[in-house]
Order: sequence, then C-alpha cells, then structure tokens
Amino acid sequence: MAKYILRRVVAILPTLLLITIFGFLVMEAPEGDYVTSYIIREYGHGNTEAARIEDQLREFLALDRPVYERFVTWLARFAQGDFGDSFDLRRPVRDIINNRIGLTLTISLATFAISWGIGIPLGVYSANHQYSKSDNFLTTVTFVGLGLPDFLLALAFLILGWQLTGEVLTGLQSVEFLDQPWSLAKLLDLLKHMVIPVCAVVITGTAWVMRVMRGNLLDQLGKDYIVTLRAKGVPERVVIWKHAVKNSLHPLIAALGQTLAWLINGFTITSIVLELPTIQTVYLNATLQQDVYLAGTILILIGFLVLIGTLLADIILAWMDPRIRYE
Amino acid sequence: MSRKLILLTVLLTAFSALGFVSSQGMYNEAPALAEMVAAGELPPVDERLPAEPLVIEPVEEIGQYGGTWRLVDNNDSNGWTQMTIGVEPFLKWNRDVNGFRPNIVASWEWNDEATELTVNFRQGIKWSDGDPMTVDDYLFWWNDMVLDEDVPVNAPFGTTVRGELMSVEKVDDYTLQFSFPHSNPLFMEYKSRGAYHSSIHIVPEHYMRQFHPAYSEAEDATELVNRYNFGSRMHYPDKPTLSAWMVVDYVASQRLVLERNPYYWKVDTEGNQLPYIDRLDVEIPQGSATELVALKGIAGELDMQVRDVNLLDVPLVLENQEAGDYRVIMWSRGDYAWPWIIPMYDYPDEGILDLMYMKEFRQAMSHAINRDRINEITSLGLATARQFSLSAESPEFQTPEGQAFYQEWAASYASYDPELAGQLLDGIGVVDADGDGWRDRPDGAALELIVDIPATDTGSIDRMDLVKEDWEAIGLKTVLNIIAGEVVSARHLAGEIMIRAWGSAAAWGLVSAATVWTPIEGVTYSIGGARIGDYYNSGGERGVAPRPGSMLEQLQDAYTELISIVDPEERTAKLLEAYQIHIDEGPITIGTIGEHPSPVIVKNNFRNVQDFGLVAGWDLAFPGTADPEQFFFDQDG
Repeated sequence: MAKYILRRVVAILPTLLLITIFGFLVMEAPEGDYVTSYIIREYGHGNTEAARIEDQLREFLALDRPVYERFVTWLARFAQGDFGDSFDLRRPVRDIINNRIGLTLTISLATFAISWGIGIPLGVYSANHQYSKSDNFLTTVTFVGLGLPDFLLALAFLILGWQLTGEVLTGLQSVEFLDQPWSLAKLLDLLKHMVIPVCAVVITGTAWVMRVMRGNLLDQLGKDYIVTLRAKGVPERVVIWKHAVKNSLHPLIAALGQTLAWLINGFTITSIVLELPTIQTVYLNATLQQDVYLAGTILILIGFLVLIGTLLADIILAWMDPRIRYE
Repeated sequence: MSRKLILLTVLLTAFSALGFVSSQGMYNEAPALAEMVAAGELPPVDERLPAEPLVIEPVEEIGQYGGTWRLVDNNDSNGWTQMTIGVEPFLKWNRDVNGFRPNIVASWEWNDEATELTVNFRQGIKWSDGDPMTVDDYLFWWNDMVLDEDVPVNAPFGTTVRGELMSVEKVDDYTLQFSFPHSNPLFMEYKSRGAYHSSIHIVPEHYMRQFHPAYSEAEDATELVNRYNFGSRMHYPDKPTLSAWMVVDYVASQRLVLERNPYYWKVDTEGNQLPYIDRLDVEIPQGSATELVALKGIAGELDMQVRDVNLLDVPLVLENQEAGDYRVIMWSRGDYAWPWIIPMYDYPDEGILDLMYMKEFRQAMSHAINRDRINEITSLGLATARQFSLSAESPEFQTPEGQAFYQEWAASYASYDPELAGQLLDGIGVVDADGDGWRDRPDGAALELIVDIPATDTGSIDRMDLVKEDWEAIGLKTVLNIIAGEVVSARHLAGEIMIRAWGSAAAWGLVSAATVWTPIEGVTYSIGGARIGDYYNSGGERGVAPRPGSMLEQLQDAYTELISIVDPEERTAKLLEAYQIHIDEGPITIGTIGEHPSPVIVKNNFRNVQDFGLVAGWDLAFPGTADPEQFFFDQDG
C-alpha cells in the first residue's frame, strides 16, 4: 500500500509540470498579449496615444522576453512561493487567491456536504423503493434538478429572496461587513447570503448524487451475494448499509477526484450571476484579460487539486476494495 | 440698573455677537468637518479654501449636507466612479457640453499664432491632505513621468504637434508657459476632456515622489504607475486628491468607499463648501453590471445610477418607480449610431477595397437597411433612425446653418429603399454572375460581407442580425463574425477586418474623438480602419495610406488645415465644409439607429440632478460634467 501511494505521489510532479507548460502555452495562443489588450482599453477611455509606449511597456513588464524564458523565470519564482503579480489588478497573485480562497471553500464545502449528505440517503431510499410512488416522485424531482442549470435557479431565488425580504442578496456579505473582523453578526450575515447560492447548487448537486447512488445500489441489490445474505437471515439494515451501499460507493468515490478541483472551480456561472467573490470569477476575468500569471497560478491550483483528488480517491478505493490493492 | 448700563450691555452683546459671526468666517462647512475643526483636527474652512473658491450654481436649490450615495461601477478600474468624482480638468465642459468653463485653470492666454500659451492656475487650491497644489504638481507629471524613459507613461494627445513634443516652463507657483512647435489652438480643449487628460496630469508630487525610482529607494516605477494608471489609480486610500470625494476604503473587486474631501475648493452661491453628500458607496460587480443594476435599482438600493441601466429594462424600471421610491431621468447616450458599420479601407483584398471605395456600393448597403424596423424591434422604438452623422448635440450644429446641415447629413442615404439599393449594385456590376442567388464582385469572384462584432456587444449583435437579413434580401451574402472583444480589437489593429460593427458612441468636431469622422489616429474607432489613421498619425511611417484623392485623403487634409485655424468661427465654418465630404462621397461609415435615451435611476430625495446628460462618450464625462458636488439628499422630503 505504501509503495502504491509513493509511486502515485511521484507521478504527480511530471504531470503537474506538463499541465503548467500546457496552461502557459494556451495563454500565449491568442493574438496579442496583455500589453495589446491594455492599449486597446486605454484607447477605449480616451488615451489615444497609448501605443507610443507599447515597447516600453512590454520591456517594463518583461513581456519582451521569449516565452520559454518567462516561463522558466516564473516557474522558479513559483517554486519559491512567489506567484508573480496580476497585470490587471496590480496586486500579488498570492494576495488575490488568499483573499478569496476562504469564502470559496466555505461555500463549496457547504454545498458539497449538503448535496452528498442528502443525495446518498435519498438514493438509497429510492433504490429500495424502486418504482414506488415516492421513488417516482423523487426521480421526477431529480430529473428537473439535473435539467435546470444552477445559475438559472440562483437568479430565480435571487428575485424570490428580494420579494420576501426586500433585500437584494448578491455577494456573500453585506458591504458594511466587508472589511470588518469576524463577529457573530458578520457570520450571520454570511449565512444569510449563502442560502441562495448553496440552495441553487445543492439542488442540481443532490440530484446527480442521488441518481448515481440509486443506479449503483440497484445493480448491487440484484446480485447473488445480496440474495445469499438475505437468505441467511441477515437483517435488511445490515444488508443494505454494510454490504450493498459500501459496494455501490465506488463511482462516487472515483468522482471525488474531480470534486476537489470543483471546490474552487465549480459553479462559475452561478458565482458570476450572484456576484460571489470566489476564485471562479477571478479566474474567468484573468483568462479574458490574458492576465497570465494570475490565470496560470489558478490553473496550476486546479490541476494540482485534480491530481491530489484522484490520488485520494484511488487510495480510498484501494483501502475499500482489496482487488485494487493487490493488482 | 441705569439706562446707560442697559444700553452698554446691549451694545456689548451686539458687538460680541458680531465678533462671533466674523470668527465663523465667510464660508460654511459640513457639520462633521465643523466638529473636526472644533476639536483642532482640521484648520478652519476659510483657511482650507482658496482665497477665491470656484462658485458653483446649484441646479435646483441650495442643498443640505449629508447622506451616502450608493451606486454600481462596472469593474475594478472604477471608470464610472472616475467619471463621477474625477472630472477636475484645467477647464470643465459646460453642463450642456457646449463649450468649456474655468476649473483648475482660472485664466489663460494665447499668442496670435497659437504656439505660446500662458496658463494661470487658481491660487490656493489644496490637496485633500492639506498640501498646497502648485504648477510643480503638473511639471512632475511631465518631466518625471512622461519624459522619464524609465516610467511607462505616454505623452497624451495634444502634447505633440506633428510628431514634435511641446515644452513647458514654470513661471511662478501658479503660472505655466507652454510652447508648441506649430499652432495648437485646441490644446486647452484637448486637455480638458473626460476624467483623463489634465484631470490626471496634475499629480500630488509630494506623495508620488516617494515611489519614483529617481527620488526614492524604489526598484522600478511599478508602484508609481500603479498610482497613476487608469485601472488602479482608485485603489490607494492614502493618495491625495483634488476631487470632491477621496477614497477611504477599497476592497478589491467588491467595494470602493469615498468620503468628502475637507479641502475641496468649490462653494455654492451661499458660500457653503461643497460637496453636499458625505460619502459614496460603490459596489464593484464580479461580472456584468446590468443585471445587478436592474435588480438593485428596482429594489430602491441605488441612489443615482447613470450607467449600465439597460434600455430594454426601461419598462421594468418604470413599473417599479413608486415601490422603489425613485424617478427615472431620461438622459441621452448622445450616440450617433448603435451600431455604426465601419467598412475597412485597409482590408488586404484589393477586390474588396475597390468596392469599399465605390460610393455606390456603400450607398446600396445603407439604403438596404430598414432602420425603423431595427428601432422597433431592438430599441422599443425609442431611438432615431439616421445616418452616421456625429452627435446631434455637437456644438457646431447648434447654429441655424449648423442645424440645417446636420439634418441633411443625418438623412443622407438613410431611407429604406431596397429597390434603389439593387439598382445601385447593378450599376456597378455587382450582380449574380454565377446564378447561385448571391451577388458577386465585378471581377466575378464570390462576394461575402464579413462583419466582426465583439461577443459582449449584444446591442450590436441583435441589430446586425436584422441588417444581415436586409443585406441578404438584396443579394449580398453576409456573415456575422461574433468573437471575443479582445480578438476583434487585435484583428482590427492588424488590419484583418472587412467590416466592423461598433457599439454606441458619441463624438463630434475636433475635440471629441475626431478620428471617428476623419482617419487621424491609429485606434480601433477610427473611420476607415486603424491603420489608415495610424498612417496619418505617424506621418506615413506606419499604417496604410488611403488611396490618393479619395474621400479619406480629403478628410485627412481637411483635418490638418482645421486644427491650425486659430479663429473659432472660421474653424467651425471649415469644419462643416469638411463634413460635406461625408455627404458628397458618403456614406463612408454607415449609420443605423442612434440617439438612444439613457435611463438614469435617481431616488426621489436625491436632488439637483439636471435633465440633460450624454453618457456614451468618455470625453464628455457625465455625470461629472453635471457637477455631482452639488447633488444632495433632501432630508426633509
């Protein structure tokens, strides 16, 4: 087992490097660079002579260096924990991510915990009552949940929330709490603002977990060992939860690999329509502005989380399923 | 008590009362500032104001101090906020944008050739930290930022004439002497546009110096230019300002808070120091602002919101006026078209260029468009169908002759006449040669009109969908190339675009974005293509020359002559002559519908907001031009 884990950990590094190189190249691919887009924006608000200093600017931002040189310099500094400065926001990338990671994780972990916490039991219930009225009802609801995009639900909730409370609950905090230290009032305010995004994302998230759980459990329930267990008189509760459910969790655990990255990369459109100050919104804007160091750092973070997530999923699966361990 | 004693007492009381009044000084101030003065934290208001503060006449009435103005900006550059509080140029546009009024500059004088200019700053203006403002603050920008090779700040439009830099000398603390290599009579006007130009060219030297590599330990100019550049200049609460409000808090991508500048140098007609409003609370959206603005607006959570109120949301916004306790003032975008369709005369295909340079071809494209239909479908019928003919509010159109000329230009080739369009095309040999149902080029090659539109400009996309139908109805095959804005711009500057549809814009004459009607700058909104303008601007070193004798060359020549005419009346007359080229050879850029109203959401207790405003052009800097320092909250109403 230890050897297996070690082998997987070592494999992460080259993969991460590849992701980084690819990410950097993708950023380079569109026509122009940050200076081009900067000059065009300067034109837009009246500085019509901005192109005079195009070369000077490129030199100033070291964008006149060849791409491999910039990449290596950046990577070397990255390894030392200096992620560079955002061209557009004119602040260290590290600060921007630090400022947002807390709230991003708060909301996505809450969403994750609730949708899995509800989705798994409902899926189990549904599978055990296949084609009953309650199963049909839940199936209908989940199909609606799967079919509706979460950002649309979020917008509907936003209007609903306004009509009920008279407040437009965008963002994650009321403005008066933005720069304040944490207090009970600030926490309550955060919770109030979390209701809309969490509900919207949970509805679609739960639906997915529930469908997967139901399908897998039904597969398991039809198998011989379940029949045997039942024939031996094992209590139904033990048959379901100890044996069948445990064996039908595999696809969900495999999906955990993606979930880790989803924590900072999921529900982007919802983040934007609800004005959430999360990593997702920064990432989208950074990509549009060719703000390479900011976008690159987030890309690496996402890549890293995908790899770690996959590794964790594999370890859990190996731990749960001896067949994987002994291969 | 004797009578005498009583009299004495009365007299003494009266005198001391008078004395008390005079120690109160000439000017009044906000209660919060008066408290700070009483506590010894701030000098008295008379000492904070210049000897002759600028007097601002309120739009409706003398206001009351107090209140927080809530509004939404569109991104971290805080451009909307800059146009609200940052408009403090040498001269300021009149409130109706017909000419300029003194602002930081109290008076100025030209020599006869318009090559030498003496500029007198208003004396006694102080920065928001109490440091006196002098011409050194301007000279620091010019000598230590623009002219310093290590500081990436460019010499702006107007500071060079035919490629040669101006020079500027200090006469005394409040007087500057500018010298230009050639006549530059519009320099003061160029300098006074928008929230950029002179509004930002006067920098707090005493503060900026500490970030300049030549005067400090700073490794490079990063920290200096961050405090100067458009995108980040609002992010520094410690930076002194000359504006009515100063930044006190900035939370990246979320919120900007501003509070009154205790040293603001303007008063109302009763001697009350401005501004009236205490604070601005600006929300910075994560994505597009329009949905946020609509929702917060109808919920009554915005006190005055000028931009990002979508025209199509007007019914919704009007419906909720009473519930949200606000009113809707219809300002204008002042746009001459949305979109304006720019044929590019630098497209790398001579066959296409032959067509573009043929006025009959462009007239056919223009007559084929059913502008009324576009107006009804996409703008609730609130816009005006018209040709590309600059903004109706342009100063040169305000005389009777100017008005007559404007009407003629706006109507030229703008009627919906597909039959005529077809005949025009037949006449120049643009016919369906191969029988596939589409017209071909005179040389027989297939003709396809490709229009680039930025994906974010949904207004232009909706309207161009209808234009495409109109063009295809007369046999002109059309492709709409809807792509990311950055890519459109990069393609544009590289000369790869055949036709570009541009969003709503205002412009006129020689002072506000002249390059939209005469190709003189290498920017994306230049008529005829950025590279045609760049050719002119670089004196032929870069870019693409217009065809000899063509209308584009005529326009460039006319512009060269115009900008050196010193007499304003002669200049205006010649300007109309230059515009005539657009009628005789027109249309050169094709207009669709324009003059869109621009709904402004204003709370009912938010007063002194004028009825007139033009919001499409950055040069015109609304609402700054409407003097936000005299806006106020009516606390009795």
